[in-house]
Amino acid sequence: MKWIGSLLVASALVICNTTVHAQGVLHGETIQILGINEPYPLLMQKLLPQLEKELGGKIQFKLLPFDGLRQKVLLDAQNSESSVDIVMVDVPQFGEYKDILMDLNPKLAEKKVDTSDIFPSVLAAATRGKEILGLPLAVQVEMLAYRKDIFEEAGIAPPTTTDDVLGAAAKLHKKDGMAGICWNAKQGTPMGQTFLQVMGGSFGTPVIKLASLQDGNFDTVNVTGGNMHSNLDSAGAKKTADYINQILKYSPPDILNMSWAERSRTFAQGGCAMIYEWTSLTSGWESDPKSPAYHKTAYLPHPIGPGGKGFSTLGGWSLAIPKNINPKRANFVFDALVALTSSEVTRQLVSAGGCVSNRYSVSNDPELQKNCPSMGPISKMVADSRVALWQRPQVSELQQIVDVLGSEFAQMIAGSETAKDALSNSQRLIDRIMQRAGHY
Amino acid sequence: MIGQSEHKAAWLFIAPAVLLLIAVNIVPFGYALWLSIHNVFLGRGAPQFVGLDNYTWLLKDTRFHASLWTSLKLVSICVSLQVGVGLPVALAFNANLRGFQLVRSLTVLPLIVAPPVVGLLWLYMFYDKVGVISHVAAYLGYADLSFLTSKNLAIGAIALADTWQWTPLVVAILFAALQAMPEYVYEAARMDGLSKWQTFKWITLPLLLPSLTVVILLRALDTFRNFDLIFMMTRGGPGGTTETLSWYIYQTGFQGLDIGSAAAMSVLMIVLVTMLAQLVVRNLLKPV
Repeated sequence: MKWIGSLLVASALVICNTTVHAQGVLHGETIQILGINEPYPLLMQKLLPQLEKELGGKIQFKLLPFDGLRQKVLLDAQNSESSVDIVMVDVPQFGEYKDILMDLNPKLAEKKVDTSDIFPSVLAAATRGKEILGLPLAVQVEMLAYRKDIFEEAGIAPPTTTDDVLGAAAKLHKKDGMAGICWNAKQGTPMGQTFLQVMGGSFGTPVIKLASLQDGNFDTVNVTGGNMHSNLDSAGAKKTADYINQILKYSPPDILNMSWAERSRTFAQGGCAMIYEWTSLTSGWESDPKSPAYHKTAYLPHPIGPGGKGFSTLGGWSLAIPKNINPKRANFVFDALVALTSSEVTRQLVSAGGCVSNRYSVSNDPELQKNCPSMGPISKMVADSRVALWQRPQVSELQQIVDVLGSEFAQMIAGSETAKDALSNSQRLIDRIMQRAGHY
Repeated sequence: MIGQSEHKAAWLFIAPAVLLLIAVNIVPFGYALWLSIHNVFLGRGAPQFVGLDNYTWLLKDTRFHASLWTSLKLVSICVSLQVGVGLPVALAFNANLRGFQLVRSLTVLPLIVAPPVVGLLWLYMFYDKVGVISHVAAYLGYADLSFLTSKNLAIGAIALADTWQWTPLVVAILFAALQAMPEYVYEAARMDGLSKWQTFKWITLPLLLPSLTVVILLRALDTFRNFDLIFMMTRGGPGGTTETLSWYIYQTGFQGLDIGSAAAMSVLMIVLVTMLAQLVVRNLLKPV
């Protein structure tokens, strides 16, 4: 019985340790958080009274769309003093923001913050060199989700390869008014990101010529000018364009206007049999018992295509502190950042339907997994090393690359341009971007 | 002869207007010119001088050419529709037909709606499945028509929204011009035995030409820089078919944060708009 007593004492110590961070760290101060208007931060807003009580101060959220958020973060960095205390940073943006964010290492060491509970790959995504620039809030994975019930009824095996996806989509398309697959095809960032993630995830090709590693991954740490050449002239890029043209046939009628919100809503309403989807957006159906997809959806990494290994893209949001924050505020803002990303707050958000966890202690909790069926598969993907971030390398020019791809391949699927032209135009345009940035 | 004190007074009176013009027009244009010859990215260090590189690139940039073509296409569709509908309506109003008084007042209503709201209204009306226009199209047997995601229909949808909002302006200007026409000219025409068509062709139209020119110019320039409707309805899609020059500049400058290239495009846009204005004025505004 002695060991039970020790365990209880140890548990109590762990709980005390985590609550020390949360309880009253703001001392009545108000902090401003600039973030993305996605379900997870919106959920945080809903739980605001509870969070404010725990942190002992006021929290003001300003939530913007993706592109607006990026503009605001970059503009704010030009000020002598930041107008916000904490910013949400998408994983690939750490490259672009590396010079405008505070290195958290000194404070993590000073305050002895234990980060061992965080998935190492997720923490690594917020690290540039030796600097930890953010702590994960809702770092997530883009998966291939499919309707288990419909696949089982039609006798179709889980789609683990690109051929499986195309075969299943062909069989299920227009069945009971349902489309085969939902994905982001809207011109701009949605289409651009789709191209990168499919090209890397399914066809094993990063958008720039990164050095390959032994395990099928690519080196995003040691990147030189020579690595910055565009890969749009590769076989992987051509296969990606062909694959996108193929899945287009099995997509909903409004596919050309489909981005994150539309695809999630369509799948939640039973409008498609498969969907490429980020973890946090699965709450659209996993938290809604009225949804036909509610607890009937299974999750897989990106399908394996010829030449690929089926990596799902690591993305989503971390909390970071701007480098130009008022130094007098930095201390309690850091404490608030640690508290907001703690396992305790994560647990509260997951219980409320957030369904995103970057911590072992939360992700492996069987009770929480019951409400969030996507959490278990994600833990497995992380454990199986099927999650990577090189599909969207953390280089300063990434958003410009995304804009180019988002324009060219949107024209391709609209029939205004051939795949060959879209590829060669993209190659030329990215080449110019890299040359102007002085990489070669 | 104007005395020196009068000369000074004249300068004093116009100075505020001149200063304002310099502050809000000349200085920003000069700054845009400076930006256009530099490599400027938001958040990426000091600007670098690149000479005419941003301009020479635009000569090769197919997306720039396509967006320019889309802008011109949108201008020609919108101006044709608005003048084509606006002129007959103005003539009908001028004929003082019974019951048109109320219609005349109601016609101006779209003008008081903010353009982004107009975009939102038409977005909902064209929305697949749930929009009223899509609903009517489905009722008529065109259930598969997807107005805002069809590369052939999207630009038409934007032109329709623009026409709904701005045709009343065309009507108002032309109606005012018609009301101001001297009655004695028409009396002379009647005495000379001119038919209604001949009266319209030889009297009304030539007298209306200055107002018509102004209306065409206003609408052409306004449509050329249209942004609100594109932003609210299509965001340049589907597949770039509604990507106008204004939208491309926005994308380059505010999404790509490539301020130098966006400035070069803006300078070219100003030059093109000025040329377009000159073309319209010189061809249409001739002495009657």
